[in-house]
Amino acid sequence: MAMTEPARKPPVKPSFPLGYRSSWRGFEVSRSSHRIASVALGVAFLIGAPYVLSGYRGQDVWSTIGALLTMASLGTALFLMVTRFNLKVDGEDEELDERERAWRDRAHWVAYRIVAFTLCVALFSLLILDILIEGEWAPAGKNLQMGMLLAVTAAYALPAAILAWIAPDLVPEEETT
Amino acid sequence: MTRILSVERVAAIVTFVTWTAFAGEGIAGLYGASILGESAPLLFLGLLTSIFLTGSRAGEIFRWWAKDLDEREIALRDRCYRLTYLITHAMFMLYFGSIAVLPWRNALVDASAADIGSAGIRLLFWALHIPAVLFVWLQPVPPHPRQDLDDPTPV
Repeated sequence: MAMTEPARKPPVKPSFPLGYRSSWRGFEVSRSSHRIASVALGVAFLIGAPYVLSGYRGQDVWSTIGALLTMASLGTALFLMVTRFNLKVDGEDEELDERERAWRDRAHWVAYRIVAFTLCVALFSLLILDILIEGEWAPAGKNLQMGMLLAVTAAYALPAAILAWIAPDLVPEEETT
Repeated sequence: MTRILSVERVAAIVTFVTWTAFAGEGIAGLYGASILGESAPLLFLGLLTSIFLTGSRAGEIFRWWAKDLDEREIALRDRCYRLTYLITHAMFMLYFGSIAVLPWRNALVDASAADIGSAGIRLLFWALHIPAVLFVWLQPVPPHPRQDLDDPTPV
């Protein structure tokens, strides 16, 4: 008796990003690569931002390291913005399924808490410094602009970095076909 | 109308308007201007309504350590925080942008460090209240008590 071949399941494709952005899915980096890049961004930002805000422009090796770390953090943040994780975290409701929406929203919840806590600490410590040393704390000019640019860039890349930590690995497309 | 404008929702509107005006006054201060003149009443009103909201159910999401939220509330809370993150990021870009252009514009060089810090803290107060305001407005409206009269099912 001839065995009937079981019906094959249709291939399941990763569901992001769908819709109008389906022509480009972002750079397909692995989750571990994204995690390493996120940690690198955090370390470079934590070391580079104080260097920028302090306005130190010496000629020694520490100045060179500080400048390189600043550029590295900017470059890493820009890289993180064009990966699939960031496209997913920016996805609209109709482009994502229910689980992906839950991860996206959870990533923003965590990111908000981190940014709000960091801003609270930064602004209130600056306020205390302002009271203690009478308004001499504020960095000015291009140092401040560069520091602000770094902070805004890091805040933008943060939800995608968190998503790389909380979302499970996706099954590669070739394994599902 | 009464279902939409509950006490909690009115408090959310007042909170939002108050902290927005408070933050706007701080941004205006960067440019040496003043819209309302006096900020102390706004701060007082904002704190009062915030205390009320914190005591309400919406205040649960103020408390980052709250653990007694059900699944639906967690989903709504995360959604509110996502919207807040997007709004807040845009607002802080405006704030940072205001600071960034200061040294380049002669009319604005008088902004002091205290003005910059004050505007930042006001904006932070504003941002911290957005999730609760959104939570109050995005949660489903409970059924009106009179609606039960139409239900033939005995209690």
